[in-house]
Amino acid sequence: MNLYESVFVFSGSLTEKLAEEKINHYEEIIKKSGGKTLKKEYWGLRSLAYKIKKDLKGHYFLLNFETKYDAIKDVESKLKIDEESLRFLNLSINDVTKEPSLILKKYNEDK
Amino acid sequence: MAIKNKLFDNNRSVTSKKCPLSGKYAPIIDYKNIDLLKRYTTEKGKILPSRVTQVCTKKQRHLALAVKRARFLALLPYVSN
Repeated sequence: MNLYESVFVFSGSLTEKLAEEKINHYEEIIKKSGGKTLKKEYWGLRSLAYKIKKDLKGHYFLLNFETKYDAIKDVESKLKIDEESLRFLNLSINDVTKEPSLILKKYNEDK
Repeated sequence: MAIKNKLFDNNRSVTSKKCPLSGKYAPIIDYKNIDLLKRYTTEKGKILPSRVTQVCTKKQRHLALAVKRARFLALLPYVSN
């Protein structure tokens, strides 16, 4: 079991609900393989710095997992096929902080 | 010989400044810390050289990696007009 930090970006053409459903779907895959989610953040519908797949906006999610590498690999292979996923980044990290990330803090302030 | 020594001393007084990203109260270098990364990139989106910003070699390496990760996630532009 390792700690992972993942950022997923889904297409802005999706509604917030649909994007949420998608993230839950991928979370489920990790849960089924025995992992668990330690932190979940939604950064909102952000405008992208450049166009990706003709999209100008995207739903950003940050998740912290404690799982095996195989589960992360499985999620990655599924995200690659997913047409609504624009970007994903999985990093293995040493420790998880409970504090909200700087982007989320800013998002909440703007609200 | 005396002139040479003087020149050398002058140059030395100009340089020597501490790294702004090292030390006890330094900010965390992370791809999520966009405000910090924006300070160390040009308007066009290039990473500023450490000789301009006085960042030490180790932190410059971390900074470059963070900028590249942020660019990949479209948090920062590769090139902006």
